Order: sequence, then C-alpha cells, then structure tokens
Amino acid sequence: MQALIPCIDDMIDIEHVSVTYGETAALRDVSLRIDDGEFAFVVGENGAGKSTLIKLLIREVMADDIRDPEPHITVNGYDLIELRQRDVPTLRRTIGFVFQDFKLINTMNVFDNVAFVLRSIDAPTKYIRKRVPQVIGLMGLGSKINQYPDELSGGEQQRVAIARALVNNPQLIIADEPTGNLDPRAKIETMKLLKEINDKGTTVMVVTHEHDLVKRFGGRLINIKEGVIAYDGMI
Amino acid sequence: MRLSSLGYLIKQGAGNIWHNRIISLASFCIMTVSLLLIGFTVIFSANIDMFVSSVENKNEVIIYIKDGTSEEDIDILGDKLKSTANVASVYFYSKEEAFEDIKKDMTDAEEIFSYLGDESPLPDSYRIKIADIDNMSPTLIAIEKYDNIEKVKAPIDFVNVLTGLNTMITVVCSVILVALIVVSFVIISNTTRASVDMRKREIHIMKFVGATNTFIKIPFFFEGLMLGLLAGLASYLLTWAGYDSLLSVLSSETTVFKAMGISGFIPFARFSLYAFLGYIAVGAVISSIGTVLSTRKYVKV
Repeated sequence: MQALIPCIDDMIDIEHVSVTYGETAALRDVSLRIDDGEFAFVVGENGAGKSTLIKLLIREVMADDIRDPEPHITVNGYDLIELRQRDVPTLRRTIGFVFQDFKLINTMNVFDNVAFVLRSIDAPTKYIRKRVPQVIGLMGLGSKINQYPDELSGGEQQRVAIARALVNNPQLIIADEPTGNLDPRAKIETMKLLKEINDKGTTVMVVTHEHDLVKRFGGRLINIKEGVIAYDGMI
Repeated sequence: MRLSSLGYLIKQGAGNIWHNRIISLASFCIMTVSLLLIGFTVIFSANIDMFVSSVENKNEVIIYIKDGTSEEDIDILGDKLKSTANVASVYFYSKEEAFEDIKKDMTDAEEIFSYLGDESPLPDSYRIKIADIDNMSPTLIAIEKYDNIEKVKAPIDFVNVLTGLNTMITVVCSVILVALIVVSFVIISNTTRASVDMRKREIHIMKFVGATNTFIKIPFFFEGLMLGLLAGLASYLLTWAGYDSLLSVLSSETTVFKAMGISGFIPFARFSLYAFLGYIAVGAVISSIGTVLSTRKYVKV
C-alpha cells in the first residue's frame, strides 16, 4: 500500500513522536506542523534533538512504537509510520538536502556534482543536460560549471550544494547548519538564496545554532531543548 | 533502468577500478593466479585421464601357457578366459607365430635363429584385453587360478600408478579448487570493501537524494565483474602461452613417454575454446557472487 495521504496542507506533520537511542531519549512526545511553502528555523543546543528530527523526517530513524497516544508522521504526504522500506527512496526524492560541510565530491566538477542527483534517480540524459546548467545558472555559477570544488570558495561550494538540492524540484528543502562553514558575507548570501527559493513556493527548514542569522532573517522559530519543543512561534 | 544509466553505472564501476588501482591490481593478480591454478589443475587432470585411456586401449595382458599342455587343455583355458568377467577379447598367440614375429623384428640375429632350427623355443600364449582397467587386479587374480598357466604378464604396476595418481590428483585438485574459490571470494570482498570506503561520501549523498539500493550497489557489481572478466582473459592468455611452452619442452622427451605408453598430450587448440569460456565464466561467476555478498555486507543502505 502506498502510504500517501490524498489531500494535504502540511508539508510536515508530526504528532506524539518520541525517539529513543538505547536508554537516551532524543525526542520526547514531539508534535510539530510545518505548512506547505513555509520557512522555518529549527534551533537548539548540541544534543538537543535537531539531528534526530532530520533523521526522522527522512526515515533514517523510526519513531518509538508507542500505542497511547499513537505517533503520527507525514512528510510531503508520505505516512512515515506506514511507509515500506523500499519506498523510502521515493520519499527522499521529494526532499532536497543542504549540509554544513557541503558534501561535494571533489573528483567531480560542478556539473557532475549537481547531475549526480539526477543520475542517481535514473533521470534521462537529455533532461540532465538541460536541467543541470539551468539550476547552476540560477545559483550564479554558470561560468564555473566545469570547475572542481577545491577551485571554489566556501560560499560558491555551498551554492553548488544548494543547486544540487534544488535540481530535482523538491517540495521541501532541509538545510542542516548550511552556514556553519562560511564567512559572514557568504552566510548572508546563502540565507538570501534559501529565502528566494522559499519565495518561489518551496518549503524550507533551516537547522542552525546561529541566532544572529535567525534574528536578521526572522520568520518561524522552533527551539528544541532536551528532546522537546521549548518554543514554537514567530520572531 | 535506462540504457544511459546502465552505461553511467558501468563507467562508475570502471572508475572504481582506476581510483582503487593498487588494490584492484592486487585482486586481479590473485584472481588470475587462482584461475590459472584452477585451469592447470583441470588440464593436468584431463591429460592424466587421457594417459589412462591410452593405457586402457593398450591394456594387453599376456598369459603364457605351460610347455607340454595339450591342445584340448589350451582350448579349455581359452574358453575359460572368454567367459571371465571383465575380459574384453581373447586371442591365441601360438609359439610358431611368436617365433615368426620375433624373427621379423630381429633381422640382425639371423645367425642365432639358424642355431635354434625351425622349432620355436617360445611358449604358446593368450593375449587378452581388459574391459575396465580399474578392475584389472581382481581379474588377474581370477585368471591366475586357472590350470596350465606358466605366467601372467600385465602392465598392472603402471596402471596402478596412473589410476592412483589420477585419484590423488582429483582429490588434491578438489581441495585446491575449493580453497582457491574461497580465496577469490575473500579477495573480491576486500576489493569491494575498499571501493565502498572510497565512495562512502557518494553513497551517503546517494542515500539522501533517493537512489535505490540496487542503483547504489550496481557499480560495485560491475567493478567485480570487470575484474573477474579481466582475470579470466589474462588466465586464458597465460595458459595458452604456458601450456604451449610446456608441450614444446615435453615433446623433446617423446621416447620416454612412448616407453611409458603415453603417446602424447592434449594439444591446446583442442580445448582452447572451452578454456576461454571456462576462464571467463568462472572469473565472472566468482567475482559477481563475491561482490553481491560483500555489497550486502558493507553497503548499508
């Protein structure tokens, strides 16, 4: 059975979810709703549960099997409690990821790093040749399409990573500390880029611990503390 | 899966071999040596089988009849031999015929034969052929119990050596084959593991972007397959060169082999195609299975 819900307004809908590693509770009875097209910051100290939340959203970890109240997780219409393991790649194709350390492949040039995503999901070559330069151009890196990651600045590398996250037209972008390895100017550029992407309708969730950026760009703030949502509101 | 994607994945597999060239070279060498040992074991065994068959075809046993035995008793012995189990054919070789044959063979010794006169000094004999050479010993034991036999002359020692050698080679070869197959699996498994380590970052990204397990594992499968095919091809070429060289050395010792009843060795051309297909198939199968098993173990997707 395809674990899809036919009609949705929520991109992410989590209710009564707990995740426990051995004896340690990483998330405790968390309920969270992020609407389609929303921009949300998720903040919290190290070990607060931010990474577990991301892993939960891509079905890398499962919610604890609790009967009362029964947990519920949907991401982009996929019911993650019911989702079969073999359908996990289909879920992940609807999500774009941006990592703190960019996770670019140094032996591939900019084009191949971005095309890699489409190749991994068996996209037609003709489409790859058309779509990849288009997205790289949107990131302002058209002139660097044949360069390798170590020939680019940190900000440029992060833009390649964002291009890679966008190339498959995801409905949701999860950025895990996207500005962590960047200089102040590149941090602002990256955040502006993510805001622009959000303005075009893509839901963006930025996990960060940089409160200055959160204050500067504003919007919805979700603060996780010791596995529970301590604050959820606009700033 | 699209043909273009398959091409891309094959290219990735070939890329793995290049990026991981030291360990790939080591795997290739060890797999080639393993395949060569497997191949030469099979070829050696086939040659031994041929020697045994050639001896089986010449498995003449001579039964010398006691001097003074009456014609009636000679006939009775002939009938007994014909009805003996595992005797394929019986031929009576009279002393007169034997004497004529020896005279023809030894034309230089006419003077000696003139002293002997016309009467043959040789005994009458039966020459029989054995159907199953492996059961030669019990057949001879049964024959030796018959009356009026002076002596039984059979190539039993040589046959025993050959059949014993064949059995031993079969056992040793089987053990070697199993050991080599295990070694090849371990080697391929380690190569895959090294490739997986090398491509950890790519695998991680592929997982995040929604690549299926099969898509992630296919390049490793092709990497193993290509190594297996290359090792198979190299083994074939080395066998060709090595076996031909060996035969040219051994062919100078033909008199020794002829004395042993060995008329020759199997020429490479006769099994060339089988060797090619065999090496390629064994190389491909071992490496493919090894890779599939190790990706299951090391690629956690």
